[in-house]
Amino acid sequence: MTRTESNIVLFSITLCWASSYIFIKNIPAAISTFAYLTMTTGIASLILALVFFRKLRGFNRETLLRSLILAVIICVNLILERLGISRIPASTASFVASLNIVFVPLLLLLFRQKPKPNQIAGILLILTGLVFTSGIKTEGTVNSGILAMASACLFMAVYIITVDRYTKESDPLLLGIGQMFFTALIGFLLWFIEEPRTFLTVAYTDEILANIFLLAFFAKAYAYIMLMYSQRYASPLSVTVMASTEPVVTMVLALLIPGTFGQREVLTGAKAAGAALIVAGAVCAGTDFLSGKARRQSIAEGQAP
Amino acid sequence: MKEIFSPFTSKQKLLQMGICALVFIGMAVPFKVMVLIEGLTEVRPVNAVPVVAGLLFGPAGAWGCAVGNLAADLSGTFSQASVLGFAGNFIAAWLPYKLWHFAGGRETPNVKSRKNMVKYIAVCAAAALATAILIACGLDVLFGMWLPQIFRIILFNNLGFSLLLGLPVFIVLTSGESKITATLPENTQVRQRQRSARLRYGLLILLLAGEAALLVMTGLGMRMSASPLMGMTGAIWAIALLGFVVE
Repeated sequence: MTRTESNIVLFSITLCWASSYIFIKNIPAAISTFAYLTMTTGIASLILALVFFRKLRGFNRETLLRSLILAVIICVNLILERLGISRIPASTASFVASLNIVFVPLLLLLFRQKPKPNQIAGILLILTGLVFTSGIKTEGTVNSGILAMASACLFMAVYIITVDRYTKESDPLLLGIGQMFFTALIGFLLWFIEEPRTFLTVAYTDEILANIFLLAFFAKAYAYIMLMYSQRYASPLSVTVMASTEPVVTMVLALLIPGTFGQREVLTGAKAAGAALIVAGAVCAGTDFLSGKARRQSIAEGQAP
Repeated sequence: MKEIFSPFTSKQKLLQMGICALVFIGMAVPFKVMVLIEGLTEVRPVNAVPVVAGLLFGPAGAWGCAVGNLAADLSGTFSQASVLGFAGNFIAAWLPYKLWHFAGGRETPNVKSRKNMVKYIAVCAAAALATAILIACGLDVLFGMWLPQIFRIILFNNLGFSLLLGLPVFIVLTSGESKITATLPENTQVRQRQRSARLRYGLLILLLAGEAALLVMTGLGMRMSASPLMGMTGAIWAIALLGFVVE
C-alpha cells in the first residue's frame, strides 16, 4: 500500500466516524453507551466472523491476547470519555478529545521516534484550527471532567501506538475481529453491571435495528478493519493527523445535509478559518517539504569539500 | 458476448457471484427502511460495491450485483422498475471492467500510480453516469415515470460512494495483504479486440459523448420521452452501450 493509498483509507475511516453521528442521532437516549457498544460491536463481530470464517482458524494465543489488550484500551477510553462528556461543555469535550494530535507524538518520543519538521508544523496548525472549530473558551479551570477527557485521549493515543506495533506482528484482520469480539464482551459485562436486564430493556423498532446495524457495519466493522490494515503501512502520527480532520468532515456533512446532526450548522468566520487551518495542517503533516529542504542542506553540506 | 455468461460455466466464478450478491444484499437491505434525506431518497452506500466487484471479478461481479439488487428489492421495493435496477447494477459493475481493460494491457486493476488513480475516477464517473441514464431515462421511457431528481440522486449515489467507500476497499483488496486474484479478459478476447480496434474506439467515443450530451440535456430540464432530440441521443447512446458491453 502506497502512502497515498493509506491516506485515502484513513480518510474514509474519518468519513465513516464523522457520518456515524447521522445514525447515532436516531438512537434513543434510553439506550446507554454500554448497550450501544455491546450491540454495535457484537453485530460487527458477527458480520466479520461470517465474512471471514475461514480466516478464524488463524487465531492463536498471541493474537487473542493482543486483541484483548486493544479491546481493554478502547473500553477504558470509552468509559473515561463518557465521564468527561457528562461533566464539561460539549465544545470543551470536543477540543480535549482532539488532543491526540499532541499525545501521540509525545508518546512516540518515549520510543525515540521524533516527529518530522513538517509534522510538527502540521500539528501546530491543526491545534490552532481545533481551537477555532470547537469554540472552546479560555476561561474556566481544570476540573475532573477535563482530566477524565484528557485521560480518555491519552488512552486513545496508547491505542493508536499499540495498534501500530501489533499490526506489524499479527494479522490485521484477525486483530480487528478479535478486538471487536472482546469489546462486545466487555461492553456486555459493563451493561450487565449497569442494567442486569440488558437486552430486555431495549424497545426494538425497525429504525433502531437498522441504525444499529449500519453503525456496526460502518463505524465498527469497516472502520476498525480498515484502520488495522492502513496502520500496517501508515505511521501512528499519520493516523492521528488524518483523524484530526474529523471536525472539518462533520462540518461539511452538516452543511451539505442540513439537520443531519440534530441542529442547523452555521458556518461562522471562526469555524471556516479553523477548518482551513486543520486542512492546511493535515496537508503540511502529510508532506515532506521541510524535511526535504533540511535533507538537501545536509547533503549539500556533506558534499562540500 | 461469451465472456458475459462465463460465470455460469465455472464453479469458482459462481461462488464469486454468490459472494458479491450476498455482500450487496447485506449492505442494501438495512438502508431500505430509512430515508435519510426526506422527500428524496435513501442514501445507498451499497453503490460502492459494483465498481469494486466489476474490477475484481469481471462478469461474476456484474451478475452478483445485478442479482443482489434484485434480491434486495424483494424486501419491500420490488416492482416492474426492478428490471431497470437489475440492468443498471449490472452495467455499474460491467462497464468499469470493460473500460479498465479497454486498452488491452494485462495489468491487474490497481490505484498504486497517479495514472491509475485518475483512471479509477474516470471509470467510476462513466459507470455512474451510464447507470443514472439507464435507470432514470428508462423509468421515463418504459414506465412513464419521470422523477426530475432521480437522475442526479443515482449519479451522486454511484459516483460518491464508489469514490468515498469503494476506493478504500479497492485499495485494501488490491494490497499485498489480499489474496484476491483479479479477473482479466481472456487472451483470445484481446486478440479479437486488436482486430476490431476502430469499431471499439468508435463505440467508446459514442458512449462517452452520448453520456455527456444526455447529462447536459437532463441539466437543462429536458425529458427523454418528450424531447425527440434527447430521445435520439438516448437511442444512439443505448446502441453504443450495448455494442461496447457485448463486444
